Amino acid sequence: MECILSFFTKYRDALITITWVVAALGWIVTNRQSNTREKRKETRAEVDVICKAAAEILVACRAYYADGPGSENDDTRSAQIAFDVKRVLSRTQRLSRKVKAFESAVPAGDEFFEAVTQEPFQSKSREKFGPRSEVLTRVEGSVHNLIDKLEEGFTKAFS
Amino acid sequence: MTKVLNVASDFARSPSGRYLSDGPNSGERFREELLYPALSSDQVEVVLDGVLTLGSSFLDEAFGGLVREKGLSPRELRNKLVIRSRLDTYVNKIWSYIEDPKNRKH
Repeated sequence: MECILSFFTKYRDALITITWVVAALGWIVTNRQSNTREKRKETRAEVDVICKAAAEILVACRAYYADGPGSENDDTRSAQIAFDVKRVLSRTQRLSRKVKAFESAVPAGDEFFEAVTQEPFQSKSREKFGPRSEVLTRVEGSVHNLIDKLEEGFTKAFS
Repeated sequence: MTKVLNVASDFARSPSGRYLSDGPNSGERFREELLYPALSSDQVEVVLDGVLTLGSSFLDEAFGGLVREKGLSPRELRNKLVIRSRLDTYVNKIWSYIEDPKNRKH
């Protein structure tokens, strides 16, 4: 007992310092883990939003091409698709600037942009196209690719 | 001298379509009425910020059409043309249409 007391008396200052250092390190580690968890949650939410929006654009494209250019809402539909495409591209670009692992999603976004807004999008002389047409399978492929790249980016960043 | 073309304010906030027959804000019209004439300047800066939406057919006809229809070379355009957009996709795609104009036309 005397031995322990003399140890604490002798190293009192050092022990106080060590206690503070351990507490500070604990705080740093907890804080870092909490930040990573928050960032992971925010990024997951953003990835989900982009993936959902891209999938909805595919649905909108199918409806758009199922009708010819003479349909009543043709311009409204194409304007909405173009608007949604731009939002998907902006969000993907922002995400890739925030988290480096999403860089490969940017070229996938470029491809998606091209596939959705390619000819005959917004053409007044286009034909009707079914879901298995070349135009729509290209859109579908680009949506798959974009979603895959986003999921890959997420896995790369947080696993 | 640098000529600045702001697509949103000088042409349309929602450019769309490839040909004149696709509507009044087509890529063909933009190229013929604004972009190609502007290229008589030493340098042309095309600003895309402020545009609400853009489609690849518009961009291909407007910019790829400079090579395809007007006979300008990609190299010449690299020296003369500056594209400004917050969205990298638009800039990347415009240069891909200029570099490879034939394959891009659908």
